[in-house]
Amino acid sequence: MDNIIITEVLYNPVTESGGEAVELYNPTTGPIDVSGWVLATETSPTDVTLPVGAVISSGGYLLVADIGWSGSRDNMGWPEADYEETMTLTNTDAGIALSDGSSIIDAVGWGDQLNIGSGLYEGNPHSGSSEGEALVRTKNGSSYVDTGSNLNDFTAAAPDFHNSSFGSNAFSSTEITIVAVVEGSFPVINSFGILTDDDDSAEGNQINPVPKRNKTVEVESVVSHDNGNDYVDTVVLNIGSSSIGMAKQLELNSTASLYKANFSMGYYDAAGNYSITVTATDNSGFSANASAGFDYSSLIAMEIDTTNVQFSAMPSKSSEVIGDADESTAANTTIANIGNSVFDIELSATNLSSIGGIIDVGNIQYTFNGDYNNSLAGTLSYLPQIKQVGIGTASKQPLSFKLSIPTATVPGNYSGTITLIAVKP
Amino acid sequence: MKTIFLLPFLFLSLVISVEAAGIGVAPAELSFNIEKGKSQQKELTLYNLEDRETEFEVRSNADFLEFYHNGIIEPFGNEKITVKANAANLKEGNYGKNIYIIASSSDSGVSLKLGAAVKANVNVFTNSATNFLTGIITSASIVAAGLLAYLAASNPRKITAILGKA
Repeated sequence: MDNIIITEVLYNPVTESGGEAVELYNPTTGPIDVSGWVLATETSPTDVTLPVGAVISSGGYLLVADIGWSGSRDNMGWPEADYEETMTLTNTDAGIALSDGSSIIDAVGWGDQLNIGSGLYEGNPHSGSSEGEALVRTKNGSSYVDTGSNLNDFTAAAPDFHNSSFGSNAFSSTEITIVAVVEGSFPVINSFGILTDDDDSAEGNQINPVPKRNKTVEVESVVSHDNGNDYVDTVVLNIGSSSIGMAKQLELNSTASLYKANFSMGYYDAAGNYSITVTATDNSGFSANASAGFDYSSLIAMEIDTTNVQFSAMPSKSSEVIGDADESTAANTTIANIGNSVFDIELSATNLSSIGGIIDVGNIQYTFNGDYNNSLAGTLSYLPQIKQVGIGTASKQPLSFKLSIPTATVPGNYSGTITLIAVKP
Repeated sequence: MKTIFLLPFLFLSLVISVEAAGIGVAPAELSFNIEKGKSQQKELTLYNLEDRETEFEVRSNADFLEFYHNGIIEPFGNEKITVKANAANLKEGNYGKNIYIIASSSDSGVSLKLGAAVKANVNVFTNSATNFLTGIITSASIVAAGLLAYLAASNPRKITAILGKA
């Protein structure tokens, strides 16, 4: 057997209206699309037309019944029909044929062959069944018999119907309708934007880094799907190689929802233009994308682990404060770059003064590498001088000072100011 | 001199702050593109990274840059500084200057003051449409003046008649 066969016909039910039914079976190894196929009867050559999208899976059934089957069938223990349509089967000398529109696939007839319409039986028709009985195709083992003669292949017996839910995965016309809707719909990104903006006067989104901290950037997107909000499976924000799931915040209506997500930018991340993308994917795997961009500002930021330096020495001697690259040691000066811009240091200082006198600023030396005799060292002055230290992002630089006390200096507490300015090269 | 020998140790600033201090400014550069005679404003964000209220000084060696800000920022707070570049008296060209933002210091002893310099790049241009109109008007004025001078020299009675009609 290489095509659909009729396996059961109930043409004489106890309840005539809504009680007739025909069972179809697919004995082949693959699904067969029976969309638009017709059941011809004595009443009409197109008495029943199978719905578009109807498919019978391998080893599956399709139960077609008269309108009203769901509430009027003789036995409510029988399965629901996969498809109901007005069907008129004559009780005597009649038959039914399944046609794919161009040729007859199978036919079953009962009664006097001479009185049965052409093509409505196969070989010799069956003699017929009593009220409430069906013509049931016999089996040989687990396989249906099909010798080409209704008389040989069918027997009158109590109905034993199967629908598409039996055994294999044939499906009903209702399910087919749902599939058709999904195929025509995709997720749509109605809007995608960055909520964070640190400069309203500038065009686009300007985002400023925060020294030594991460900057939180908030984004939102409205995603819709014609089949409903539940059809949107994931909404993912992509920035660089990172992906962040966006959370649904609000269902705006039955088909559109608002999604939000936050991501962080480090204070050390390079300034420039960044692009982010949102990808919405539905349950069928269809997806949509949208992009947005922002300008991440440059940040020049410097931190120092102490605001005072302590010198202690006798006249004609010197006192040194040794710098290090450890911010936890306040006695050892450390400069840290906590922005995203490399910077040099501009230095200047005042004289140190007390009630008893003044120590000229020229007595203070400094160095950024421990050596007071190279290009990263010098003597402080009230005039600014730039040292090309090139302190990189997220790096630390030691800064050492050495005060030489002139011999004639009057003892006491001296005060002054050393100014350090971070300058972009 | 005697005192120095009796008090052999000289102590300067015995106070050591264990709290870190810091300053940050974003963006680190400002670019202005201004038509000659006009002005433009941009914003800086200044971060105070100290655990105390801090006063900031904003200055520049360029008289065409003006600053508007509160000057005092709460601990770990930030504020906006409006920078106005005024090209009223600038010629066409590019001007690069630094804006210095420096924290005050109330520490005694030898204190460290922190600051940051923001680069301000100002491009002053002349509107070509305005130039074109000015050029036409100037040229027309010169031609008219020349014509009047010629007529006055060659035929004083005729120029008197023209001026009389006008």
